[in-house]
Amino acid sequence: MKDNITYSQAIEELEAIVNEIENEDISVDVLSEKVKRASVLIAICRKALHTTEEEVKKILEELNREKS
Amino acid sequence: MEAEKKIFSLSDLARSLRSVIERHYSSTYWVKAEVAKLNHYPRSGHCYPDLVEKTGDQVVAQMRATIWAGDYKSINQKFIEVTGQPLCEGMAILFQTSVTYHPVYGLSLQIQQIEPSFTLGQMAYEKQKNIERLKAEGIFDRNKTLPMPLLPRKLAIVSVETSKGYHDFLKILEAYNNKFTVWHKLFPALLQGDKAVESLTAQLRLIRQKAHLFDMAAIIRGGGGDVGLNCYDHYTLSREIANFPIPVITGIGHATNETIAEMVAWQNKVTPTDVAYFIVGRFTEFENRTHAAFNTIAARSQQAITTQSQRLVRSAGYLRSFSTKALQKDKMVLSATINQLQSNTFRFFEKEKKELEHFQTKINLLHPEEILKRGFSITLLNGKSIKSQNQVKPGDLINTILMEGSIESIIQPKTQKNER
Repeated sequence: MKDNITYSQAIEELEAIVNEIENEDISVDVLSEKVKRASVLIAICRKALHTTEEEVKKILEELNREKS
Repeated sequence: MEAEKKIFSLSDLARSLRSVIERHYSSTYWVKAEVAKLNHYPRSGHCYPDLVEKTGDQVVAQMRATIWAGDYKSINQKFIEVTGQPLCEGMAILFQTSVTYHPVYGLSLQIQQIEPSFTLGQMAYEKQKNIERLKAEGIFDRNKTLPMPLLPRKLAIVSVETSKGYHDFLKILEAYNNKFTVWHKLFPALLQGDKAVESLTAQLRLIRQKAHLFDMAAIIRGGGGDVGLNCYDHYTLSREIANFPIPVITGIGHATNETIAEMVAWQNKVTPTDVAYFIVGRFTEFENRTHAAFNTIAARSQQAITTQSQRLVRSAGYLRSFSTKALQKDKMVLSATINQLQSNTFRFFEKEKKELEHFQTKINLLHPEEILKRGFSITLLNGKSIKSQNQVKPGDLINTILMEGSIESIIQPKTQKNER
């Protein structure tokens, strides 16, 4: 389930968690759970971002080659 | 008693008449009359004209006259000099005469001289009258209004085989035989003199019957001298020409005043050669015009082709430069777009990375371990964190979590503290 999450869903959830932690008096009991979850989400996003960037770079390089 | 009859012989009576007439009409007289018949005898040279006076068509007086050969020669010569005509039938003349009586030949006028200017005036008067008559009948200009075919190819020629004018005419037409052929038919007629009116009119009427076969008619005369042309002032002939169903052109070649026939003709070319040149001219003019038209068409089409091919070349040039330009512009737009795409995606990724880093930092800061590191601790009761003293009561076992390890404690009663 974790793997099927989209980038925008992940960012949304991440934002929600940070917001929750920052503004609400979250109990310490769930805090570590939340942080753990956030770390996972960050990792997912990083990976997605990295993959996408690589792909886009490749496409742009191809475009530039065709242009000339 | 009856008186005895006095009997004369015929010669007695004749002699008596002769003496009376010679006595009473001893001088000469100026008399005007019309020549009904000329009766000229070429062999003897004498002339015995019948003279008449008419009121309308009615003869009111008639007498015989004599012009002796010697007189006739000088009279006729003088007459021709002034009037352009020999003395002939139908003319009105003013003459000086004596009256003679001959027992055998009877009463006769012996003409000594004729005043030609009287006849000339009479002829001019007749001519004017004929002109006015044709005008009054509305036919004077009729032949002129007929359309002349562009190329007169079929000609009816009224002339005579032996006429010099006719031969001049034919010579010119034949000179152009290699270029075009004109078909012509001769209708022979007397072209001058007192029989000419009848002859010319008869031939014209013959042509009229076959008018549909001809484009035009021409009356050609020349080389016959200028004598005896007053036939062309004659009413009957002039009327025939004016009323003719096809154009009539005259070339009767003379130096005197224009005759009525020439006036009412479609055109008067005066000489036979000019009639021929008129016909030839129609053909050569047509030829020139068609040549000019051909040249114009050739030049114009050449010009049109040149213009069009120039336009084509220009269009091709425009197309090349425009399409190259357009292509270049598109290339530039494309590469600009690609550059923009690159920088935009680059910015996007930077922004996303920053955001993620930001989240990472926050998450790191919020991690309980970080808090504990800074000397804070977490106190749990039955596994749940407590935030207020009211959540515990004496005797409760609480667990304090530190950065390293944890402490278990029992809550002491509060009262003791208060008592102290």
